[in-house]
Amino acid sequence: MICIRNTLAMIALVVLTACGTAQLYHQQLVSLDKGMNSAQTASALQQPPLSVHETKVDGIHYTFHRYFLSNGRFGDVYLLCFEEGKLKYWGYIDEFRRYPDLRINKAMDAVLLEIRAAKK
Amino acid sequence: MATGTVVAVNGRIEMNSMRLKFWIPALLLSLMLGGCAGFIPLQRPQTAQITRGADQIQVDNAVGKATLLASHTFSANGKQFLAKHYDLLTGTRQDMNMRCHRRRGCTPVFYDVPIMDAYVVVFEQPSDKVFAWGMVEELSRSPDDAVSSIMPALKASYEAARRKQ
Repeated sequence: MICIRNTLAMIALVVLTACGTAQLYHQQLVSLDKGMNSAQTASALQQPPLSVHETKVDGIHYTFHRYFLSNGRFGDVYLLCFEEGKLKYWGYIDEFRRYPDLRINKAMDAVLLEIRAAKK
Repeated sequence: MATGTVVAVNGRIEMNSMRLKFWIPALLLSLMLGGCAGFIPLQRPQTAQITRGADQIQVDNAVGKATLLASHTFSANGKQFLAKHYDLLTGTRQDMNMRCHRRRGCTPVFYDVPIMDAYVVVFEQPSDKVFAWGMVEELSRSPDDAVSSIMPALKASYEAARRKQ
């Protein structure tokens, strides 16, 4: 009996530790609006980004905030893109690739290299 | 004779408790199901029928019996709009509970939980034609500035409408 309790407590601990990693949920995304600054988005999402990445394309300064969006059982990298300090676009990597602004596509590619290098 | 009466009375009590054992869960179940029946989420096949320029009647026909959460008018960029809000069923996730018994130990019980997202259809006024439609977060980041720029006003107006409800 005690053994079962201990096992369950261990499982709960492991699950809660996994949950401790900052992650976003779809419902939180409703609070984002174009033109917000980085402090406003962190406040709207009620958490800071996992990492911040900066790059320049054609003289325009882009800042990317990396989050992890949980989608039930799965999750993936979710990015917020600020153009000259103002929120321009946000989404999954594939959504960024479909975004009809070549500068943002290029900026995201540069940032992705940085993110992948940091993971290695 | 007296014994027979006692047996009969006891039998009636047992019958009554049996009836209660059946009726109480049945009543609780019907109340729970009644609660669920009050809300019908919007689904993808319904949203697929919405087209740009459709009017309210066409959209109402497309969404069918999906529950309308709120309807409100607001102005943005010098124009008037009417917004109709729904919850879109985007999938389900599986949750688990452990059911534990003193002798039989613990067994996992899996159940599906619906995942829903805020969905809105915006009609331009006074033409009453569909101007934009989609998940609220999707419209907020739309590459079309004519759509994304009305979203802060839409959200503020929606909050006000919900507070009134």
